[in-house]
Amino acid sequence: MIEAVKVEREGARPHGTYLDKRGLKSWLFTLDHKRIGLMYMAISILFFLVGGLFALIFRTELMFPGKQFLSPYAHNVLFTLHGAILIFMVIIPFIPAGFGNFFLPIMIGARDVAFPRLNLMSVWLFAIGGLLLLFSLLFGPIDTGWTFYTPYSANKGLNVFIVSLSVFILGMSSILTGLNFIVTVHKLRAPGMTWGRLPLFVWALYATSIVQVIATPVLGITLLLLGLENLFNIGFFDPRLGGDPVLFQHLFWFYSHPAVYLMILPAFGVVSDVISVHSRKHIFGYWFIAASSIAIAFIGFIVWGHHMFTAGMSPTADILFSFLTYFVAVPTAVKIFNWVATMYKGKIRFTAPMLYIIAFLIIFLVGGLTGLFLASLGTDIHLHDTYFVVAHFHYTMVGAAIFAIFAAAFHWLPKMFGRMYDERLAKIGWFFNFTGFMLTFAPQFILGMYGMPRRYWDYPAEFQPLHFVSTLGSYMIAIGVLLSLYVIFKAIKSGEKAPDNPWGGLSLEWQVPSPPPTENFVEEPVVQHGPYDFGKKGGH
Amino acid sequence: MLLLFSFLPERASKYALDVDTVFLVIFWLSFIAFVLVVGAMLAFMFKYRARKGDEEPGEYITHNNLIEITWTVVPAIGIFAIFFLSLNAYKKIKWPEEVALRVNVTARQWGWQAEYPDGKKLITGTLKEEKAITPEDFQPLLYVPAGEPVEVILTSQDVIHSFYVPDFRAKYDAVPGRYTKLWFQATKPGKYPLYCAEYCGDWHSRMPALVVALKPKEWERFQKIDASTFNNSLASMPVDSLLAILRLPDEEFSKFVGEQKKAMAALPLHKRGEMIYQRLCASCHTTDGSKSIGPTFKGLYGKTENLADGSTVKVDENYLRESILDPNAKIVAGFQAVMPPFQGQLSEEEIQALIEFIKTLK
Ligand code: HEC
Ligand SMILES: [Cu+2]
Ligand SMILES: [Cu+2]
Repeated sequence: MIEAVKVEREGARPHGTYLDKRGLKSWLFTLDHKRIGLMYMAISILFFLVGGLFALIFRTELMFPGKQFLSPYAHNVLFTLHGAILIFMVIIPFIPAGFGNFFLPIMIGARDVAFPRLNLMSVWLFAIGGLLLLFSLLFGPIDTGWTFYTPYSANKGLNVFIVSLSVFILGMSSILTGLNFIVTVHKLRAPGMTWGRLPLFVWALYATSIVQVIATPVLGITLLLLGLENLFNIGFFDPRLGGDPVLFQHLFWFYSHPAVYLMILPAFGVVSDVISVHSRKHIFGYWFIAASSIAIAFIGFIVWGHHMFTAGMSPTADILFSFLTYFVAVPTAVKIFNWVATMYKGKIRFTAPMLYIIAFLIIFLVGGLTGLFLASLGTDIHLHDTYFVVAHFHYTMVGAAIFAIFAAAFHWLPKMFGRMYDERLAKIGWFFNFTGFMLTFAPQFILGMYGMPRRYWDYPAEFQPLHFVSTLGSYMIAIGVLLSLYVIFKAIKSGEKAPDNPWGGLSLEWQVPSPPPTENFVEEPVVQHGPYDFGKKGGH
Repeated sequence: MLLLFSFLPERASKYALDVDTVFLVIFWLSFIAFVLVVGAMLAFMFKYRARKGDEEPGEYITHNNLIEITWTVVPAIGIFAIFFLSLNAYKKIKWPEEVALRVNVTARQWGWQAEYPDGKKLITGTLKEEKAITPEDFQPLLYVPAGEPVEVILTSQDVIHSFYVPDFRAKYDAVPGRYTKLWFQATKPGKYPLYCAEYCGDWHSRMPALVVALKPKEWERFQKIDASTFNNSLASMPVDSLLAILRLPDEEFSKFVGEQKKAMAALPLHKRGEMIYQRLCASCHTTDGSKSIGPTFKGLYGKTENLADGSTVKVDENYLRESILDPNAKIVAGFQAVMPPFQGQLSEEEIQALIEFIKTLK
């Protein structure tokens, strides 16, 4: 056990929690990493609802061929905003900037992140970026797709400029968070918190931060160029002005492939921690999991060309990028095997967070395996830019990231708010989310195999049955998400009081009171064992 | 296995089987991996579930390097096997043996244009309608010989599009300002749908077209038709009518082509202009005085047109010519600058024919 904390529990239990201070100002100007984490999550949830609603609207349009109620432009705007909002405002920031901010310092035994003021600035920039994204709607909502491919996006004007600026600012926020985390992990670990005792969630955040710091500047610069091109017709990307449209794709994917790891690595961290606690077993292969996160982060930088197998690259580049892409598959597979092996000889409890992890494993496995079809040069040429790709990246990014967010939410809710949630309702929500997800996206694989291109406002009648099922599935997800949010907010407002350590976790966050005091620890803790030592002789 | 094949579209090109083979190999390897992993997971979930009231933790097992190295190396081998297998298919997709026919295809917002070495031209128009797409909306873009390698040289007039024929497993982007290419060899005669696969704006989903693979005899005939006869009277025919003509007995076919040629030659210039109008301009311009996407042609010649910048211009031959070749040079008041430039797409004779036609619309 952690001695200092033990003392604290017996005697000097702090009065008061980080939630005590009231009033808007106490939130807007807080330097407390926990409050900053919550603000990130609150903003993201709002945008999540908006982005999700957009998807429901265009899925309804796509239920039948021909025009239902959306013009092609309206449809294109909705899928663009759906993608841009969910990626930049929800999936990328949610786990690292939300849960990460809240738990990373506690997990390593620190009072706060290394640079609390910078942290506050990050969340401010995040909010400003979000507002700017909404503000751009006044200048005609953009319909460029979240990928902004040039030259389609190169001469739209002010609206694309403002969106680029917004993403530029969101990127700055992301870079600052990454920087803060890297320094925090290096400098603020409590005595005894060796690298080998870091929870895997921390390792995952550390790997994510590296990607954030190295890759995001490229996105910022690329979008700045695009914004300037729109204002001044400079000619970076527009061939009529002597620019190169394919250059944009290289620059864009140089960030946006690593970005998929920004979305998925933190989710991996959540899975490692939650699966170990709820199986009541030591994580299997700690170092393989930690090292594979770092490996994925680095290999992820040199595979971006796999988005461009039909875009006009040389065959040499095609072959090289395909080869490297297969490399990423290996560490990812290793992680999945290790998680499943963690359940072996455990004492598995089927709580809501655990159910979300099980769903995660199934969905992510499908997502990963279907990636093999897209990494393969032969098959990608057929499948590229079809619904197969849409299904694949929803399985990897959404299925996995959003399911990990829900797992994390239910797993840590008792700690963050000191309240328990309604287990039964949470499981019903899980059922709707999981079934709805499968119904929505499994048919899209088949659509893609048949050759249905993506981003289509209309399609030949033979594709209709599968689109119909997909839309019904999306309605189920809507029910599941609303129900789950209801469960969460009800718990926060009026849930039963939660004990400090409802799941019997061993990492540091479970050793402090729920909700944690502002300073996290009354005295600096001294760490004497790893976060996963379940069942260790002489230990627990 | 058969079921899976039925989820892939028809296999109608020479390399389609190579692609589908890779697809199936990946599918079955993935399927096995999926069953093993999910099977193990379900088994553990059942066997190691915590009973009620059991507060004990699970067994203390932390790692096993041998097992972990095994399950790093084994998938790595499988994955690289897939890579090499798919490389084989890629080689076939990328490098044709020898090319029998090269066609230039230019994409635009929102349609396609194909140009044959002998000057034959096919253009598909945009379907800006609210009703659902039907099989008739797939207009012919390419007539190619079945059984022979065809290379398509792609480019685009405006934004990036992508030339995609699912039945051939063939796809490549059409990028403005550069040429890209792809090849295919249709294995059997038939009509194969062609889609735009790269998002290109409002009517991205409305660029459907057809690649028609012809039997050797039909192809021979197709080649015999001279370009101007084809462009002026046959290019805009529905596929089935053209196929019927290509299938006529020898004599009747020669007679038909001869007659078409004569009829074309005899046709006054403005009549030829009308045919071009029907093919290329009718989707935006009317001849009855009503307003459409563009201004009507009725009474256009000779009138004084108000331009968007407030100036006026007298409509004469030069203005018409400029409006067709470079429509954005002068924008008509009250209209959007959406007309595609026809620079380089119409011959001098065709432009004159169009102008003559417009002049007849008093
Ligand atoms: C996509 C729709 C579209 C197509 C197809 C199209 N146009 Fe136009 N056209 C317009 C629009 C809109 C305008 C008015 C704006 C402008 O001046 O550019 C216009 C203007 C013109 C004008 C000037 C009219 C005036 O009132 O001064 C002429 C002449 C013309 N088009 C000829 C043609 C011809 C000939 C074709 C076929 C070869 C054609 N257009 C095809 C949309 C189209
Ligand atoms: Cu990628
Ligand atoms: Cu297109």
